[in-house]
Amino acid sequence: MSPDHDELLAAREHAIEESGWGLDFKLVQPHNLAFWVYSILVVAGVLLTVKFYVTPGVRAYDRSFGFGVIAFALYTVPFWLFLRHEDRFTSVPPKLALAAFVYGSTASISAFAALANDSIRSLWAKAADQAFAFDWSAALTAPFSEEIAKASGFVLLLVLAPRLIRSPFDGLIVGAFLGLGFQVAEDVAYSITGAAAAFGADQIHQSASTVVLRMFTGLASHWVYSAIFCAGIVYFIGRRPGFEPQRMRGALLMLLALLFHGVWDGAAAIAGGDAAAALVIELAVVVGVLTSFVFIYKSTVKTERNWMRELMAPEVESDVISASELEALSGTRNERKAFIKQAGSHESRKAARHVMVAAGDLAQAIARDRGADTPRVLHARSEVARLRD
Amino acid sequence: MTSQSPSNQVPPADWVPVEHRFAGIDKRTILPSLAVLLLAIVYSVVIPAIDRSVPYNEPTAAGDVIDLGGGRLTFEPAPGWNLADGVRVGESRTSVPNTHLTRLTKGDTSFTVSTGAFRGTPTQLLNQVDKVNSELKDVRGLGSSTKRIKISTASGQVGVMETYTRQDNQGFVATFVIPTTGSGGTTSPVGVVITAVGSAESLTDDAQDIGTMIRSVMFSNSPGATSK
Repeated sequence: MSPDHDELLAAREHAIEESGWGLDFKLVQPHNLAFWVYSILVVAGVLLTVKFYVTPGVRAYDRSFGFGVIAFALYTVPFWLFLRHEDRFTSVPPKLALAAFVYGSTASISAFAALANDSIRSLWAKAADQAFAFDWSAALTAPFSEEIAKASGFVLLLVLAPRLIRSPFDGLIVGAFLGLGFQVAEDVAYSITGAAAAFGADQIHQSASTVVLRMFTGLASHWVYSAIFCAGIVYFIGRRPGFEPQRMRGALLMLLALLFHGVWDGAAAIAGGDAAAALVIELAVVVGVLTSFVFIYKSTVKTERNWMRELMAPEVESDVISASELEALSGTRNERKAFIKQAGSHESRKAARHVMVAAGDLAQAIARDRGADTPRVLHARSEVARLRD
Repeated sequence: MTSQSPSNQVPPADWVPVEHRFAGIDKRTILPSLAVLLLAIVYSVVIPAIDRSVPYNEPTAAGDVIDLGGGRLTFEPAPGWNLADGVRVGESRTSVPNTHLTRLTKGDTSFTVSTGAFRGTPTQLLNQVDKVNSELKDVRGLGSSTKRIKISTASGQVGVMETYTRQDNQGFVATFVIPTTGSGGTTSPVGVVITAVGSAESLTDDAQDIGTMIRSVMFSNSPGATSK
């Protein structure tokens, strides 16, 4: 026996309320202290970044700077598209993702990490000696200073968008954008230091090797450490109502991000100077960190899929979409592909794909208009019918 | 059919319930925001201040050998200097890259050795160093150069040295380009830039130490061969 209409609508209302889907992200909130702190730290980050590059370093290393900016701007595009693609239910609005990226690329790196890292590494040398600091200070400093610097942005965004960041999945995506911003800004800085290390001669050639290396290592770097760390934060604190804290899991995920970061930075020292062993350790970190990301993604996206199911169940009852279409819409990527594939001919598969997209549009319209039959929702509903015909 | 229920009404994002307001600010946002601001102050002010307040002293001793790259490009520091950056041969678990910075201090004298890939002559390297320094608006604080002379190390490496004088300090930059051989037999030239800065009195007092350190720069085919 299927649930009655009122129960379905109540479940939809519950999904809209808990997920925060359809709500816009508004950064400018003068009554919210997080907005002022976010603004102060981003402005400070921008000013410190400008100070670092423009006066007067960029003059001496202008070619490597230009090369780094262009290369990493292009590098950011596929990362950005990938993360938007992974956020398949658009639970993180683009403006929120942008706010995270901006904070990561300015405040986190220039107003936090860059100011503290050298001092902390210097303190390691003072506490032990230069050789110890040379081997271990990066591994004992950066994971803590940098993960916390990036997470500070996540805390501010949680306060600015409490109804939008509703699940560990949201933490995973917002954290990834924070980390991506940090990573890109750090990579540009490294492109200059690569040239400076060769006394500013043959800058493009010197920067190119640094840029290629950073692009390769960046496939599993800050974006994924932060994704894991911020998902851990959401697990740890919970998002009431709807998501109870899971402190042990949250703490473990945060520790896991710190551990991956630390092992990566300390790979050479752990390997005792054996280059082959260091490479094996680094590859193990890459595999471990990406596997962790996929595992967390798969386990946290289930909440999003349940919300989608609850949101669109009334549309099955009113025959706007079929039960199998709802299963595909709220299913895994493979289930969705299988649903489209079983449609048969090329034309049918194309139509099924279009219906899937239109049903997604309808879900967004329903969430945005809080379940009301507004002209936008009615139009989205009619589009599903049109594409089916 | 679907319908809208009054409970579905969502307050605007900037709506603050009366009981949560304090001086126009949502009280619930104060604690986490101030925590982040405090964290920023700790990062930018407190930690650097702690670092500055902690004295550092790692004196060099007779027989020390400083690793400038792979344990094979080295120099011997004079005893009694403070190793502010850099490692002795054989002390680190990781290999020192050919791109590296070593800094020794004694009183107000700073002795810095930078290494990095460079294809060219010592004179071209010195020209390049001067060019970058000029574009960086003299971050070395050495002012204008006075004259260049040829110098050589005990192992026969020939370099160029340029001296500088300013009202408040003096110094020099010496450059070498040393052909190094990797483990696979590949040869790659490494530029070595040595900078010494200090007051005229200090540099005079330390001249013998500095000269000895420069002359000790050498490349050995066997790693750690020069270690104590």
